[in-house]
Amino acid sequence: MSLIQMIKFMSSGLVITAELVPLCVLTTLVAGLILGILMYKKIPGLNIILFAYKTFMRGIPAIVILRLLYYNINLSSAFFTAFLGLSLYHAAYVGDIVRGCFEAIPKGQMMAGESLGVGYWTIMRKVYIPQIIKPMVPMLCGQYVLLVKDTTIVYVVGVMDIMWMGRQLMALTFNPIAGYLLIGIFYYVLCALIELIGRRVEKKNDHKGPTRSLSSYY
Amino acid sequence: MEEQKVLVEFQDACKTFNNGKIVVLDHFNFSFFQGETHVICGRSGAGKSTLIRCINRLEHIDSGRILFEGNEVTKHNIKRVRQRIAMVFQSFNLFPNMTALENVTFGPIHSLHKSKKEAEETGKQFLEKVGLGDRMSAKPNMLSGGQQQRVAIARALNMFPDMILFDEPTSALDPEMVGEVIDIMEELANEKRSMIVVTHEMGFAREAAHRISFLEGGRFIETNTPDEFFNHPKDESVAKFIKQIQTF
Amino acid sequence: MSQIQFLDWLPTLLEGLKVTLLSSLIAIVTSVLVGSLVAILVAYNNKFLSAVMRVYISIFRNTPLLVILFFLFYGLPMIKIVLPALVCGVVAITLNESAFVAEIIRGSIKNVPPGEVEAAVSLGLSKTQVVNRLIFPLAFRNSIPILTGQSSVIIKDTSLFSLIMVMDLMRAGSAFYEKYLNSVSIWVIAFIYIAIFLLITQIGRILEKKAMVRR
Repeated sequence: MSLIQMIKFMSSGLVITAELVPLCVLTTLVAGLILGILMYKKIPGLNIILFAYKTFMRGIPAIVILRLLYYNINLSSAFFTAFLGLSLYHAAYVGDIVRGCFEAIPKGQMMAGESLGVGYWTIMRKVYIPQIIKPMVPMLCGQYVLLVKDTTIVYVVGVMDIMWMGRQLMALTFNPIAGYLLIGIFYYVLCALIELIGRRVEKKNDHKGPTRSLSSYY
Repeated sequence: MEEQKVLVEFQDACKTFNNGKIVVLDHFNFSFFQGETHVICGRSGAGKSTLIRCINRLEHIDSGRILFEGNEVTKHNIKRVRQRIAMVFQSFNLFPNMTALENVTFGPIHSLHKSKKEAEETGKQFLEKVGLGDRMSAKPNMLSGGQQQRVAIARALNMFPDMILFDEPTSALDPEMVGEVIDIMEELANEKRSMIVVTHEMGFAREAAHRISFLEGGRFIETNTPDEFFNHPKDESVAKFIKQIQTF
Repeated sequence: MSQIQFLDWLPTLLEGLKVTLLSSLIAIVTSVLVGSLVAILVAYNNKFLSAVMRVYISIFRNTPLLVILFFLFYGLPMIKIVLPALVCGVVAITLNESAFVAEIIRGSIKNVPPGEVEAAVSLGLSKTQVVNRLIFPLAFRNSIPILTGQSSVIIKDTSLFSLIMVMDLMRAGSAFYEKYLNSVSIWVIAFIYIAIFLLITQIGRILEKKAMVRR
């Protein structure tokens, strides 16, 4: 089987992965923002539940949440199980990133805003959220690289993604080296792209300017 | 002042930042003498720190020469020059992973290649001299700002330097800790050590300095004894500066 | 889960836990060692070596662990290199996580405060001395809390061993399900993972407090 044929064979799996990633990214972004703000606000009662959820998700490997969903809830589609599992898992991380960004803003800004008679949500919208976007993007990029890499395991709940097709291919061609190299390249390109975006933004955010090299002292 | 041996000499030194927008040294000529405590003052941003950082090449001058004991400071002899000119920084810059004693012996051991035993022996003496004989095994984060700066002074002294550069040594300190550092610096001045001190502590300048210079526009627009400098400043700009600080 | 079922499963669970903990420990050590070496090679001013190591970091940070794992486990036997599954697993994690460790240490090297570097420079130390005596020791020390966090990631990584037929904690959980069709075992192992995670987080916190930078 030629390389082209191999790629063609795996293309249906590729499409599924390509659908799963943006769906999860979007969902975790929205859910993470809400979670992050709620965790930042520390609402009594709710905060304990959110903390338990966060600790649970951060404590287990992603494969565990997939297995839990797969064995416990009889969801109609494998794709939906994978989507739900990965979103539940990574939303916890994204939420924590958002919370961290909010907490990095000096509390005095809220006081300053309120002392001007401006409402809480207006300050949030006009002062806090614009400030967290820039530092958040590089961290989110890092998280989404992890999310993309975690999509490799969704075949365990029966999603016929690129890994699944790759395994089928291996059974046909007995050429796992070429197969996994191809899959590896696919993921590398996708992840390196996300990483690149993160680095670009990080560089833009860095106002310290270039640090002096050691040689410049000699 | 009677005839004195020149220790550090600037010859026609120029230094600018931001493509010439900020002038720090403008064909600057000056001699610092051995055994003198020379205070440099001036408005913030005048380049006082940069001036002394040029002496041990933490900053490079654009043109001109800087001589140390008659020899030009170049990248070839900079290691030897740095071994003989110690520096005390505004933000202490102690090594956070080392105890006070390790901070003080770091230079002698790795730069002067002294034995650990010898470096520790003298190091302990200097830590005692700065009043920290009982905090030798404390890490910097266990020490107050004033204590950290005193360790930094002991670190400089343990190099047995020919000259010590002080770069605003009390600016980062809480007011109640300034005194303990100034006291030690005054003691060093009385020992006739060669020191160049960039500082806003006019009390120290008045008490301990042999000469005071005012840096503005890339030159010392006035250099004088403390008495003359504070009581009969020749330059109008200096007079204005003194008036401003004396209102405090 | 009845008592009989549980007692039947217990040896499997303990075996799985042992495999997970032991292989994690080895993988943590190898990842930190290789990662440190990579970070050091990047930092030295040999342009060629530095570039090679950057490529290494980029490749292994951005390739999924599972793909590396399958490549080693299913791919290498094709060219007559047959490694035991556990070895494949540890090597795969080491390749993957050493890239992350290297980035962490590289970040710490970059973040050594310039003032401390200037202090060492002004004492008359050479460039090499400043790097070896100050920057590396400081950077490694400052990395310890983050590396502790990363080691909990490595422990979670080992759950993928279950996909190459290693009886680790994850597989022990699945084994019970496959026998009794009862997913309570997955919950049990989930909470074991969480307990390990909390323990490491706590250790990380203590280390961070200890390493709290000055002032």
